[in-house]
This record gives sequence, C-alpha cells and structure tokens, in this order.
Amino acid sequence: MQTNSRFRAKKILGKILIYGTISLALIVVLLPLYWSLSTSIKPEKTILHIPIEFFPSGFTLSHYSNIFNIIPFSNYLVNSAIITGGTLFISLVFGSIAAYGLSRYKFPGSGGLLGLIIGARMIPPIAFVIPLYLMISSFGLLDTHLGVILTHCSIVLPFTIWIMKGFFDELPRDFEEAALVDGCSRLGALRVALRLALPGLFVAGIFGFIESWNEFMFALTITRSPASTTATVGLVGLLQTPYQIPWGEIMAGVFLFTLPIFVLGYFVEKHMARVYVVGTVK
Amino acid sequence: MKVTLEQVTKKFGKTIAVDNMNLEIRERDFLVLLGPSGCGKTTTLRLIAGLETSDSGNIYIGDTLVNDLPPKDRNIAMVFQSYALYPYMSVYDNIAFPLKIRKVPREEIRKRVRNIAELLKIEELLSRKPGQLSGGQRQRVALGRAMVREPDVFLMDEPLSNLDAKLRIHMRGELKKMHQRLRTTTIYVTHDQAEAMSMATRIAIMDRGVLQQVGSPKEVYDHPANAFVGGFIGSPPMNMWEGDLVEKNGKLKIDTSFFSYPLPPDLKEIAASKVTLGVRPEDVTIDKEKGSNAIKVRIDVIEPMGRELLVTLVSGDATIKMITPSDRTFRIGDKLKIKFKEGKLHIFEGKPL
Amino acid sequence: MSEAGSRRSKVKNYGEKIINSDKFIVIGINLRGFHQFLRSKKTLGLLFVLPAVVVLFLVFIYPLIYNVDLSFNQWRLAIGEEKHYVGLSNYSYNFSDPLFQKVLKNTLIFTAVSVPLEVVIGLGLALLISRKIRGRSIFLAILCLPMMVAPVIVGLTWRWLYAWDYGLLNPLIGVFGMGPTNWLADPSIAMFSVIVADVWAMAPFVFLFCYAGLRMVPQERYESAEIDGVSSWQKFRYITLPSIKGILVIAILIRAMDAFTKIFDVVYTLTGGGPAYATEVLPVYTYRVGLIFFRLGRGASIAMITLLVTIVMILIIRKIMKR
Repeated sequence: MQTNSRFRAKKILGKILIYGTISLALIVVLLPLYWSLSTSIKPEKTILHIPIEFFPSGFTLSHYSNIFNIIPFSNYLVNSAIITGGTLFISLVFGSIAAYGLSRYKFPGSGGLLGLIIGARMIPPIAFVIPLYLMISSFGLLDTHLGVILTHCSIVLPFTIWIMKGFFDELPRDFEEAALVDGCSRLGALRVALRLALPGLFVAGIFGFIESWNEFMFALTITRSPASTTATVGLVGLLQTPYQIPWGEIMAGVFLFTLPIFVLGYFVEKHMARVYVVGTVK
Repeated sequence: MKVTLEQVTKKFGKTIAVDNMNLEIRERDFLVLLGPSGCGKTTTLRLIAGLETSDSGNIYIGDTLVNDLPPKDRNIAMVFQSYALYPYMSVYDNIAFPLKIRKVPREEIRKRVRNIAELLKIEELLSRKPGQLSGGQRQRVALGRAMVREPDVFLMDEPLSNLDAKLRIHMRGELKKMHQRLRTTTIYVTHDQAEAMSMATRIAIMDRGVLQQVGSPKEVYDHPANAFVGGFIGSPPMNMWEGDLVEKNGKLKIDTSFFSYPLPPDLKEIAASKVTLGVRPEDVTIDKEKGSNAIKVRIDVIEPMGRELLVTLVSGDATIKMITPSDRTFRIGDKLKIKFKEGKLHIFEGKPL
Repeated sequence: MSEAGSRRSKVKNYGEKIINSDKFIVIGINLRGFHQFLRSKKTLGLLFVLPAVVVLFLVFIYPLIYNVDLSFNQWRLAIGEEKHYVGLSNYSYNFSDPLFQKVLKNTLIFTAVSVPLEVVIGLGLALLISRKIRGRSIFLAILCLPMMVAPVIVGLTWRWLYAWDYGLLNPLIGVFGMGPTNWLADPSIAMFSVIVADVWAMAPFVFLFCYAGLRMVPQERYESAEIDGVSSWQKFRYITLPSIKGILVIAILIRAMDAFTKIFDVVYTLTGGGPAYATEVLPVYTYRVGLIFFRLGRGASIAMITLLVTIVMILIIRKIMKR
C-alpha cells in the first residue's frame, strides 16, 4: 500500500515537472509574439511609457492605418505578393515537371542534377549574392519585380523540385501507365501524374510561398524604390527613422505581414517534419 | 487478335529480364504467364503493352509490328495489380476515360459505359469515387475500364492478388466467364499456379527470363518439359530425386541413393547419365503385393487435408510425399511399402532444382 | 510403363509456330533508332528537366562560377575601378586582416554557443512532447510558430524586446532583481543577445528533427524494456539515444553549417553587426564588403571561404548519412 502511494506521488510530481517545463517553453515562444501584437494595438503614449504596460490599458488601431501613411506599405505588400507569385509560378511549373523527370526517368547527369539540387538547398545565398547582383544589374533588372523573382528562384526552385520529387516517388507508376494504355501520350501521362500530385503541389506551393515572402537579403540587394521594395525590406527600413523608431507601426506591419504566413502554415503544419527533416536527411 | 513475340530480349542494366523469348499467343487464347517473382513475366507483359521497350527482337499484335508504337496506338487494354483507378474521377469517368481520350462522341460513351456497367453489375456505383469502393468493386471497375474500348488484347497483371481468398476464387470464375463471352485474346500474369490452372486455355511458364514451356494446363501438368516446370506446377510439389540411369541385363532402371526403380526401355539412348526422377505425391501408392521390389518407407508426418491425407514418408535420409484417400488410418512410425503409378514417372535431364 | 509417362525434353522447343517476315524486320530496324531516340527515357527525362536546369544555371550555377572568377580580381565599384586580375591577393589580405579574424572568431563563437543551446532545448522538448501527454497537437503547433516567422521579423521583434527603455526584457529581469541591461549596445553582451534571439527562432527546427526521430522509434522497444524493469534514465541511455543518434548528429551538423553560413537577417536587424563589430558575423561581413562598400572581388573571396566551409560540411554530412 505504502509503496503504491509513493509510486503515485512520484508519478504526480513527474507530471507537474513535465507540464511545467512545457508551459515554460510555450511562454517563451509566445511572449515575444504577444509583446509585438500588444504593442501594435497600444496607444502611442502607452508604448513609450515607463514602467512598461504588460497588459494594454488602451486600444487603438491607429498604428495599422499609420503604417500605410508613413511608408508606402500597401505598395510593399503588393510587391511582395507579385514577387512571391512570380517565384511560385516559375518554380511550380518548371519545378514539378523537372521533379517528374527526375523521379521517373534516368538519364545521363540525372544523378548529378539531383546532387546539385540537394546542394542548392544547403549552399548559403551569401555565397553567390555578389555575382548574382552584378548579373541582375547587367540585365537591367535592378529595382524590378523580375529581378527579385529570379534571385528567389535560386532558393525556391530547388526546394520545389525536392518536395515534388518526394511526392512523385511515392506515387505509383501504375496510374501513368494506365493512362498510357488508355490512350494518353507521355505528356498526357504527366498531366495525370500532376493531377494526382496536386496535394504535393499545394504543399510545395505553401512552403515556397513562405520562403519567398519571408526572404530579405536578395530583396535588400535588388530593390531600390517603392517600385519593387518588398515588405521585409520596407519594415526594416523603418529602423532608420530618426529620433524615435515607430514601434507601434512596425509591429502593426509585422502582424499584417506575418498573418498570411501563419494562416498558410496552419495548412502545412503536419508536413513540416516531412519537408524540413526528411527533406534534408534523405 | 494473335500476339507474337520473336526473339525478344530485355535487359535492365546487367540483369536479363527476358531472354530471347519466342511465343505466339493465338487468337482467343487466355494465356497465363506463370512463374516465380522476378522470372520476367511482368516485363513480358509490359513489353507487349509498350510500357517497356525491348533491346532486341520483334513484337507483333495481329500482323502489325508494334516495336515502336506507343501504348496508346497498340489497341490494348490493361488491368493493373493496383487497379490504377484515377482516385479523383468517379467510376463513370474512370470507365469513360479511354473513350474520352479518343474523342468518342458523348452519347456513344454514355451508351457503352452503361452497357459495361450492366454487364459487370456496377450500375449503382457509377457516381462514386474509387475510394468509396470495396476491393472487389474496384476490380470490376478496372475491368470495365479495360473492356469499354473493346480492345484487340487484354493484358492483366496479377489483377486478383489484392483480393481476399474467397473473392479471388469468385472473380476467377467471373473472368473466365467474361472471356468465354467476349472471346478477346487475353494475356494474364500471375505467380499463383492454381489461378493459372483454373483460368488459362494455355499456360506459358517462365523462369529467370527464359520461357520454359507453353501448353494447355493439362499438358504442363501431365508432361512438364523440365524439372523446373515439374516442380513449379502442382501442390504439394512433385517429389524429385537425383539418380543414375543404368542398363542391366537389357533392362533399364534408375538408381538413387536410397532406392532403385525399373524404367520403361525407351530411354535407352541416355543410359548411364545423371537424371532426375519426378513423381507427383498423388502418384505414390501403397504396394500391397508381397515380394515386389517396392520401396520400404516409414511414416513420419501425417497432415489431413479433408478428403485426402498428405503423408510424409522417410527412407534413409530421403523424404517422399504421398497423397492418399483418408479412409485408411495411419500411425506415425508405421512401416509401409510404396510404388509409383504406371505412366506417371517423369525423367528430367540433369540435377533436381 | 507407357511411353507417354516418361518424358524428357530440352527447354528450347515449344513446338510453336513463329512468323518470320523479313520485310517487317527491315523496316523495323530502320525506324527503331529514330523512334527510340524520340521516345527514349533519356531524351524525355532531359526534356522534362531542361527548363528548370536553364533557370538554375542562370540564377545559381553561373553566379557560383562567376564568384570564383571575381574572387581572383580586384574590383572596387564604389571608386569606379575596372575589374582586374590580382591572383590570390584578396585571400591573403583577408587572412592578415584583423577585422576578418575578428569576424571569423565571432562567427565561431556564435555557432559554438547557439547550436548546443538549440540542441539541448530542442532535444529536451522533443523528449517531453513525445511522452503520452494531453494537448500534444496544440503544443506542437505553438512550438512550430517561430519557424514560420521571417528571420527579419524575429530580428525586429527581439530588437523591440531588448529596447533599453521601453522594451519588455529589462523590466522582466528586474522582477528577478537584476538591473537594466544594455542588451544590444553593450559590446560584451550584444553577441549573447543575438544568440538568444537565434535560439528562439531555431531551436524549434532541432525540436522538430528530434521529435520526428523519436516518433520513428518502435514503441515495442520501450514496452519490452518496461517489462524488463528498466529505469527511465536507462531507457533514455540505452534505447532513445542510440535510436535517434543518427538524426541528432545530422541535425547538429546542419544547424552548425547554417549558423556559420546563413546567419544574416537576424543580425542585420538586431545590431547591424555592431556595436564596434562585436556581432559582425561572416555573412554580414561579406555583404558589407561586397555590396555596401562595393569591393566586389574581396567580397567574393570571403564568400568563397563560406562556400568552402559549406562544401566541406556537406561532404561530412553525406559521409555520415551513408553510414
């Protein structure tokens, strides 16, 4: 009896420890996000206030309207959307067809290409940003959407090929062969395979979206004016504001900028382990 | 439509999947390509379908050389092991797909799909998606998709292997009935000899890429061309022993390590060579005559199989399987004399497999 | 015994009629070459990958090659200089430059501190979450949030947390009796602050790695150990750790490689490399030399050093993964 109750006490203590540690981790994760969000809705006076207000005493949406006044933030968001869209278009169209070729056919250099794609996932952008800048500049594409799109393709295209290849590898060839026998050409079979890999295309699209939308260094290098500046570059630019950095507006911008990522991320959460872990390990 | 393979060879890297194959599949045949896994039967089927390209040799469908025709132009239909039903299409669209691709008029498509659905008794499933169907229903839909085009040749790659045992036997009957009705040349791949025996008009047995024998089920069972076929066809498998063919006093006999057995005289020409003697378990009988030169054995294991008993006998270090009616009672350890039924001995060249 | 009963035959003859039409064969051979070229898997495979390869060549392969060329040249764009060959002098300059040495040291410190922290936190949390606990899916979703936040946003958010006057962190440590700290402006603390922000963003990656690895361990191993009366520590030591050792090593190597070569956005937004180059890490320095000071050749030579480190790491990772 006694050992039994001691066993139980030990078990309860263990539970408290486990849940306590997890709660602490959750607080550490959420605190910065909470601080950003609460700053974005605090009236200016209470942001720049000592002692700080952990729980906002007032509420305002003025930062959310202000961010569009102090910088052309709507332009930046549209630029980000155009660049992300263009990057996704090139990467998904070319990437999924290439992934299909790599998954289904062996040809001279297919092994090397596969190695190159894995390498491209690992080689840091800083290793080729200088020559890429010179190239974009010599094409006359500085400060254009297309210029940024091309740089983003260097990241997103290999990523897409890699994810899509995984999906095609898991797709039985029977479907395409059935289509071939049923009367489709090789391209018709590719269409059947693409239709079947549609969920994969969504996953690749969302991860590609996150990569391109969040990208900063290439955008910083290529963009100059509101004609092409992305939201990341625009928000960081606010740090250069003289006298007082407008934290309320920055955090409002941060929230507006991050919201689509969280929404899309929600759909692919269960794929994260697969894409980030298996994608790098395999 | 007949299908002809002429010296067809297919290699994958260094492995030879199909080795110099010559085979004619006659019009209206239900030909079963039978063999263990990796024997090249599926590759042969895929070569005929055009899903693989042969390294050398010619394939004809009817009188047309099809070596360089893509699958879509060969007028064949194929049923896959996984059925390969398009999961995003309804049953109706799945069956209609081959016609749609060929731009058959819509009314015509509707008529033909309805007909097929009626024939296969799947009318009430037409609006469902493959994911909502049972294994047997999917199998029917896959058949329907193959039949709707009224192709010259049906190709089937182990189409029943994903069904449970009971359904599999039922579908065998259905397929056979369907073939008798449509009379379309059918090439059917399986590793299941019972399936082959029950459905085929002719069986082609392959091993390691080489065609071993072609013939009706009865022919390959009664007259296996070699030890491989003898051992592969029949369950439980044929008893096989290595022995020497010897001639003594004008009479021929086989000497194995534990018995010697008289043989008919027509094998004289290969006397004094190493051979394999094969006897099916059902051709082993108990010898009741006294004084005959029968083989003395001891009962080791008794396995009741319903109507019959499978008895494992030992003699020295050799074992013999015997199938015998279960009306007799045996006890383990009993001593018996056995002989082989007349005309049921198989002598193969070389050693047993 | 009848004749039909005993039978011998060789493999070759099946008694089947073989049609033989020379005409067909001749045509067949002539057409075969061309058709096989068009339909051959090699040609088709190449056609499918071609568009992607063209784009990749343009934005990735050619720049990498161009970078090698640049690194052997001097080309100070800011003073309107022409590109000219200088051999290895960019490299020799780098290694004698005290600032470059400082940057290298900073980067090594950053890597050596942040990666172990991320591994300890990530592995620890993965071990906890993979137990039988309630609300696991919510924990998972929240723990994965930082991975989705753009590194730039991580930098902005933490910069605001670190703000000396109105930030959250100084009052927070005040609760524990510590005085306000100049997180980003104090050269002796700034690197630590950068590391904390990076750990916040990157520990979830290690967590996800370890969690996925733990999920792959067959439950039976633990169950049989439980029946054998194995203690929790022994379970960790003899079952968990050996089971996920492989994936853990890979996680550490990948994180180390990324920490060394990819840390840019967070540092750029938090400190910009300051104060007094206290947090200047390799990628930020490369960018500064190449694209702010526009010393293209020297920037390229520093990028080459980063690339070489990456390639060595990739080779090590591949070698380990093959085992």
